[in-house]
Amino acid sequence: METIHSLLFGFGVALQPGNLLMCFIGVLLGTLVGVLPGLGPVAAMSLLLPTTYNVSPVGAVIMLAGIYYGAMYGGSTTSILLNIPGEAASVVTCLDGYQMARNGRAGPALGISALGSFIGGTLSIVGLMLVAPPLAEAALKFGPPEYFSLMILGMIMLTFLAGDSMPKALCMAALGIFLGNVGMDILSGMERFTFDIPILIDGVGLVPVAMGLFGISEVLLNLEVSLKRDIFKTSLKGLLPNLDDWRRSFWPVIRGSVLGFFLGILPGGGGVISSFTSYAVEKKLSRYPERFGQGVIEGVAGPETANNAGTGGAFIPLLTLGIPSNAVMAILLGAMLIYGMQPGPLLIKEHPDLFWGAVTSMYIGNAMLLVLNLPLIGLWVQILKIPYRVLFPLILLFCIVGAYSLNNNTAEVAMMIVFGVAGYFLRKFKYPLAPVILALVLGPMLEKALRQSLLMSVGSGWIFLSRPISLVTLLISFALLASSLLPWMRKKREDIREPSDKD
Amino acid sequence: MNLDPERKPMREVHPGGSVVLMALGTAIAIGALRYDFGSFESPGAGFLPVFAGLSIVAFSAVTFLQTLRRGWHPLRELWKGARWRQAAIATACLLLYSAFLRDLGFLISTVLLMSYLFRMLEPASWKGTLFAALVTTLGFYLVFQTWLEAQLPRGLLGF
Repeated sequence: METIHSLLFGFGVALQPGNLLMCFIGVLLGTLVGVLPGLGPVAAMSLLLPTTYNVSPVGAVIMLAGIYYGAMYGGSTTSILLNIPGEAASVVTCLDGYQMARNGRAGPALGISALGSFIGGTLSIVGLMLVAPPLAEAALKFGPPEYFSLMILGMIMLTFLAGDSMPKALCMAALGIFLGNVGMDILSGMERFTFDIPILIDGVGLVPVAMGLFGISEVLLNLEVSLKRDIFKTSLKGLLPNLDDWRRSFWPVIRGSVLGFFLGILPGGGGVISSFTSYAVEKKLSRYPERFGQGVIEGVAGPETANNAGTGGAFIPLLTLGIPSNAVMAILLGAMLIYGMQPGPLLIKEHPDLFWGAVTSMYIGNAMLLVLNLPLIGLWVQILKIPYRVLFPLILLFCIVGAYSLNNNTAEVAMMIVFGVAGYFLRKFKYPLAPVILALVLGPMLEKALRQSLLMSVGSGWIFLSRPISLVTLLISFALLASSLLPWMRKKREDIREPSDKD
Repeated sequence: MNLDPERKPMREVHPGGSVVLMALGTAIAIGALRYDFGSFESPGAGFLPVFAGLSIVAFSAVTFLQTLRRGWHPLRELWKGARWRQAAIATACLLLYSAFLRDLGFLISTVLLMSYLFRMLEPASWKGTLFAALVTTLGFYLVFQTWLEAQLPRGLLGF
């Protein structure tokens, strides 16, 4: 009964004209960045973060969330029509989606991906709504040692999945922690690594770092190669899947929803691992696994449902524990801190309008996406034809204006350019960048939890092992680290790892 | 351990990146010692940064050793066939832009930057490029300065 009451309250917030508009802008922009290869949700959310400063925090969070799940919808279009994933979570859709397009079935592929995304996204919101409040209640009992261990697990999980090399990913996480420690020490007030540069006193800003690492460096790398796109010419008529398509997609959609949601909750999880796991499961359960990769609809329905279901799950650790599970959630956490809100167990009680407004806006956003995606596929295809020589100056200008308008300071722009160049070289040397962002946001929280824990235990590390939740979390982290050294696990990890670090 | 990059099939990226990161990690750890390290009973401001620096060194060293064991591509392979000058020119343009943004103001500096960038990848007529740069700059000005009330630099024009 209380949930229904909260749900109605949430709809009251989400249906306010201003919030409805923000939801529409978010899902529209999300679909756009999902469609455009080379611009993922992390870059898009960083770029648009400064534009939300004049909006209410609820509206801003609704818009940023819309960008995230909108990108999951949009990503499938380029996978199916171009064999180029618009974002990392849609990589696996290329395998069967593009083959379906080549067989003249682009319409049903796009249709089932939009409808599956809608079903997966909606079911995951139901899960979020049911799981988050009791989890937040339980999290009130967590102390600094539990938080420290959970943050360590989050970082280890992300580094486990973030790229070719785990030591490189861990190195990037350590770099992120260091960057998070720059500025005034939260406990003693001492300035660290500020080199008398005023903007560094408040710490290294999330927006210039994210824009530099994900926006500027992406442009610099794209400038080096010729980006010519050949759009596969095929009939886009008959977008609705037929009865046989539905019969074959029914269980993949259901399994994708459940898998995606639970994998999304895991630290380091989200859309990417959900879609890859769903594809592997569908292939395993199929009566004709040998046809996977040749254009079977189950290979599109499962992963596309799972990557959207993963988005709902990914919100749970952020909204209940205040711990982001991936780089996108780290940006959202940074945004909420800028708006003066502290995500965590008290968020639902202290800001019910934000929590329930954001959750119910996702129902509305998913419905908007269904309406947007099916009739507007032709428009998205046209947008793909925008030449890069026109697109890249606009992306750069967005980055510049976004970084400047943070504090009306050109030093932020210079900082963004420095991180852009650093990101360019790090990508050249195959270092994943998502752990830097996650650790940058978690760095100050991790330091606070560590120091408080050590103060509580008078310097004894036993405090992390004597509390059950902390012990289990650390054991899982250790097992992940150890398993990455085993050859068979290394191979398994290579199979499911993120093929791109842009997210 | 394979110290000769030509001896085995080359699989890893050049180890230069891990060497730079090892140096950076060392600098961070040493720099952090200038702040109060404290003790395990009462950690100070330098406590976590020291461990962060040491972690960077340790993980870079592991990467470096892995590269030595597996062999690596020569450094020039990273830029083989890449139009790296385009990236370098774009970076230089951005740095110049950020240096002159406050004095010239948003409108002038952005029109200049966009005029150059729109022509950077493919030749186009100056008239068309200038028009596109003007429209883009005014569009951004209207959205950010007028609508979102951002305080973009006024510079020479005073608005």
